[in-house]
Amino acid sequence: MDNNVKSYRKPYVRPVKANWWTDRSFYIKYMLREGTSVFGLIVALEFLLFIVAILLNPIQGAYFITNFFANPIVILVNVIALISVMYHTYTWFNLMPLVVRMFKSKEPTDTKLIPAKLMVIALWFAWVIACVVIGLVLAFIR
Amino acid sequence: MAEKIMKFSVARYRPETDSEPHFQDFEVPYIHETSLLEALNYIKDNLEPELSFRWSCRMAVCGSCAMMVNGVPKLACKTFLRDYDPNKVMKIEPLANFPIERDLVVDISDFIEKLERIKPYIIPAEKDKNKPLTEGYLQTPQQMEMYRQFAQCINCGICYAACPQYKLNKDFIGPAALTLLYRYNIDSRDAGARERMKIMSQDEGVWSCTFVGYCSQVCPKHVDPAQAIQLGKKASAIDYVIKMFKPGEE
Amino acid sequence: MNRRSDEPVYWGLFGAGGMAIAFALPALIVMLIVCGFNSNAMANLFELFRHWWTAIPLFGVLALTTWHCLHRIYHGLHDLTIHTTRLHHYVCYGLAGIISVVTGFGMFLIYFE
Repeated sequence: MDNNVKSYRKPYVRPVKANWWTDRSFYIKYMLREGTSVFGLIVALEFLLFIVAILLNPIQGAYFITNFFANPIVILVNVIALISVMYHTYTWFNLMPLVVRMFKSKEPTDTKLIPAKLMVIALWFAWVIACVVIGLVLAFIR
Repeated sequence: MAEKIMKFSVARYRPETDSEPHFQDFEVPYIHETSLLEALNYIKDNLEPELSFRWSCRMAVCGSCAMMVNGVPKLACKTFLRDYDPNKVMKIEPLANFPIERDLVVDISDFIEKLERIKPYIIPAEKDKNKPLTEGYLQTPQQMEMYRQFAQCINCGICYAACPQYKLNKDFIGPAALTLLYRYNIDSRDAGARERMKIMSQDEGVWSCTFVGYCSQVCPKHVDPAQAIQLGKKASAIDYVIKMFKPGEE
Repeated sequence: MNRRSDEPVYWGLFGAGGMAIAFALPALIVMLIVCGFNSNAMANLFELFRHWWTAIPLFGVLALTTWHCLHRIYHGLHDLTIHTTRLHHYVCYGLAGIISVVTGFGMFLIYFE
């Protein structure tokens, strides 16, 4: 074979920019979903602050933490955290059924999968129950 | 027949003269049935004979004509001009995340190499090896349904163009290859799961996926690679736990 | 190449954390907001730490939340084109470990006070 043919090959590799995800709304929603983790971490740290403050000084700590949660900025952060965690819940429940792929029965002729929608509805149903239980505990715990 | 005109901005890249791609504008008359592939052939026949693009079957089977249409990866043969606003310009670019060879032609050999790596064929068990086809490989409808959806892949590379993780890390085995890996691993006729599991369980396997999910959104054959990869993660995680208790077993 | 990833461990914690956040965190955040307006609610929140049957699940939720979030942040760095190394890995998961251990130890001390 004659290998003396000149090759003009010069593949062009497109650069990857740090803001690639601003291209499409789908990617923006994905980054928002991942971004909810920042607020989840903030909430975990708020609880940690609560614990540390109480441990360091039960009386002054309680005073400090009461003022802390009453601070308008903290309330605003908590409201944003609530919205972002709800977005997490919404996306999480939508993706959850994809990880579970089950047939309705074990019959060898059964080719019907359990519909994803049914699982999403079941998850939200369980969520409402979980919220009511936590709410009741918080309201009546002594 | 009432003809309308669609404006196109098509990416051009000629390696012998260009240092980077640029855009060239075209106007193409179209009717209700005109596909993007036909429009590109119109450009090649009447306006710019040097325009390079790949195509073959014209009916979403061969997977050759994948390209970016207004930034979305699509098969040109399955994209119809009637679905686009004639007052705007259709922006046509080569498939994202692959090196551009020339104009709309990209080099997908990285994907093909990964596809080969995952052994996308049935590896029969030792006992089934010499059985006639009529007895060795019987399946129930449910056993077939386990993988049928994932077997629809035409290797067009659209999911790779949609995948940010492949964009960011070219070592990632990627949506289509991982989907086919899972597809063969759950096939009741296959006995090669252990070999493929090693590839799946690497950092570059299912664990590079962050479930963006855009691959499943754009797949022209509705394969749902994102789901196959999550199921793969589950299988790999279960295998990880089993290996923790039985470390000696290969 | 061909090395088995240790990601299943973190993915497992991430998955459990995702569930914990989805189910428990919205109600807990509402409680934190209520505490901002009503200091009596703070006493109820504090009671959570004083019963084992609320303290243990609360610790589970807080620890899993931390692991889930730092797992996402670790992978998010990569999404923002930051080249993640073993160092990023140790910092993120190390932080998750420290936060969950301090939270657990603190809750232990409060309970037995």
